[in-house]
Amino acid sequence: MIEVTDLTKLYGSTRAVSGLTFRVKPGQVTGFLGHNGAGKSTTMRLILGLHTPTAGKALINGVRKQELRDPMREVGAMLDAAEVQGGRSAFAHLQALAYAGGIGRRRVVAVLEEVGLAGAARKRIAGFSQGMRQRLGIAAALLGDPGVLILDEPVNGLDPDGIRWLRTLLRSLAAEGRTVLLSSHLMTEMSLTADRLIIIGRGRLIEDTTTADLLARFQSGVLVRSPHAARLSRALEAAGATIRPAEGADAGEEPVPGRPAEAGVDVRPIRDVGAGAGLLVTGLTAAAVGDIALANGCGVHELVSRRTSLEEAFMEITR
Amino acid sequence: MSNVVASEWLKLRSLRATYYVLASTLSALALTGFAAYSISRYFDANGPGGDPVGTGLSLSADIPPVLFGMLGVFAISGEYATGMIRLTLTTIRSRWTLLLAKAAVVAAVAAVAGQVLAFATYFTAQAVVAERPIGASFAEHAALAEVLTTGAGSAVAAVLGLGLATVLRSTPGALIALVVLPLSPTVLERFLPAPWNDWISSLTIPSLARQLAAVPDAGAFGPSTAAVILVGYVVVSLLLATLAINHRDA
Ligand SMILES: Nc1ncnc2c1ncn2[C@@H]1O[C@H](COP(=O)(O)OP(=O)(O)OP(=O)(O)O)[C@@H](O)[C@H]1O
Ligand SMILES: [Mg+2]
Repeated sequence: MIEVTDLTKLYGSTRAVSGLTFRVKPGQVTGFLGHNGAGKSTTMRLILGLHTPTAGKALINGVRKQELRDPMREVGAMLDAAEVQGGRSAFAHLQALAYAGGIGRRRVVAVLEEVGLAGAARKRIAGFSQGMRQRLGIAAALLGDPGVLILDEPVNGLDPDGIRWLRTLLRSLAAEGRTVLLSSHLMTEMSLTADRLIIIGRGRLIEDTTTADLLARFQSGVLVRSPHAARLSRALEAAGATIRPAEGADAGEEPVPGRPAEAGVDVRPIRDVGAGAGLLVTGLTAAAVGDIALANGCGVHELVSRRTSLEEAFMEITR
Repeated sequence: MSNVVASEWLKLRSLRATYYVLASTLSALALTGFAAYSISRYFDANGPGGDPVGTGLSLSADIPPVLFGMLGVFAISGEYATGMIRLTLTTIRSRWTLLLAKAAVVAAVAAVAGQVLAFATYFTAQAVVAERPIGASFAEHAALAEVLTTGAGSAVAAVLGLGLATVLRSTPGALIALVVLPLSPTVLERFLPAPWNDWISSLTIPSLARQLAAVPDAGAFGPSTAAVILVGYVVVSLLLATLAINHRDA
C-alpha cells in the first residue's frame, strides 16, 4: 500500500508536485500517467524517500520509507535503468545490492534467470544494451521479493517478448496481493497492464480511476463505410445518431471526377466517394447502424464497433 | 550494518578504479628508490654531512595520502556521477549507515595497503642505502613507529577523501580538493605569524603521522596532539558527510 497525502515538492520555483493525494492499493497494477514533466518521477522519488517533500507525506505500508525496517523486502524500485555503474558485472551489481539487504546468492541467480540475463551475468554492464539494462533494473527491484514495486517507465527499450513477459509478471505479482505502481508513456501497453490509473498533470491529480471506467466514460462509436455515405448519414441522424467523418477516410480525398455527389445533399464534410466514405457514428450500436443502412438501401463496405483507445482518452483528459 | 559493509566491500572490489589506485601506489616505491639512490651517490662522493635517507618514508610521504584519498573519493563519487546512489539508497535503512560502511571499508583497505606500502617503502630505501650509515633500522624504536603511523595516515586519508566526495558530489571537485588541501599549508605558512605558521604546516597527514611516531623535528605537536588531530579529521569528515547526505535530495 502506498499513501500519498497533500504531497508537494518545489525545486526552486518549479512546482514539480502540487498537493497530490492518492492511494495505490495492493492486489492490482496501478498505472501512473502524465505528460513529460508532469511529476511522475518526482512523486516516485518522494515516495522512496530520496527527495524530501516540501509539504505533505508519502507512506509505504503506513510509514515513511526511512522508517521501513527491512526496506529491500518491503519495497523494490526501478527509477532509471541507466543509473548504474558500468564497470561491474551484472552479477556483482546485484550481489552488492543483495548483501545490503541480507539476501543470498541463490536469490541473485534466480532473479537474473527471471529477467533473462542469466547468460550475461558475468558481463560488464557497460556493454549492455538498453533493454538489458532495463531488465537489470527490474531484477534489482525484484531482489528482495518486495510487497511494493515502484517502476518508472520499465517498458522502455524492452523487446516485444520482454514487454509481454513484464506485463505477465506484473499482473501475477499484483494477483499475489502486491502493490504495483508503474509509469509509462505507452498507452496501449498500459491499458493492457493496469487495472487502475492515476493521471497527473503539472504535478496535480487529474484522474484516479479504474482503466475500464475511464474507457467507458469516453464515448466509443461505430465506424461505417458506405458508398452512399451522405444518404446513410441523413438516415442515421434521423435515428438520433451523431455523425462525424472518420479521420483518414475524408481528409485529403478528392471527390472522384465524373461522380458528382448526390443532388440536393449537403456534401460539405461527407462526400460519397468510390471506395465509400467513413462515418463515425455515436449513439447507435453497430447492429442498429447495419439495420438502418439496409432499410435505406445503402451498401455497407465496412462496419466495426470502435472503442476509444486509452491514448485518446488520455489526450482528452489532459488537454 | 554488517550487511551494508559486505555490500560496500563487494562494490569496492568490483570497481576498476580501486585497482588503478592501488597500482599507482607503486610510484611511491619508485620515487623512494630513486631519491635514496641519489642521496647514496652523494654520500659516496662527499661523505657524511648531507641529508640522511633514514626510514626513506619522508622521501615519498606526500604520495600515499593523495592516492588513498582517491580510494575514498571513488568509493562514492562514481555512485553520484552515475546516479546509482539513488538505487543504493532505496535498499538501505539510513544514509549514515551507508557512509559508515563505506568509511569502514575504505579505511580498512587503505590501512592494510598503506601499511604494506609503508613497509615496502622502508625496505626499498634500506636496500638502496645498503651498508652506508645513512639509513635506519627497526632496532631503533622510532623507525618502526614511523612505518606504522604512516599506514594509519593512509586510512585517515581514505576517510577524508570519502567525506570530500560526499560533500562535493563531484569526482573532479573531490580530486582537486584532495591535491590542493595538502599543498595549502606550504602556501599559508609564509603569510601566517608564529606560531601559526608552524602549526599549519604540521597539519598535513604525512606530518601528523611523523609527529604521532615522535620523529624528532617532525612538527609542532606531540604524539597525543597529533593523534587527536588525526581522529578529528576522521570525525569531522564523517560528520560533514553525514549532514550533507542527510539533508540533500539524492
Ligand atoms: N532534481 C530536480 N531538480 C530540479 N527540478 C526538477 C528535478 N527533478 C524534476 N524537476 C522538475 O520537476 C518537474 C517534474 O519532473 P519529473 O521528472 O517528475 O516529470 P515526469 O512526469 O517524470 O516526466 P517524464 O515523463 O519526462 O519522465 C519538471 O518540471 C522537472 O524539470
Ligand atoms: Mg520521469
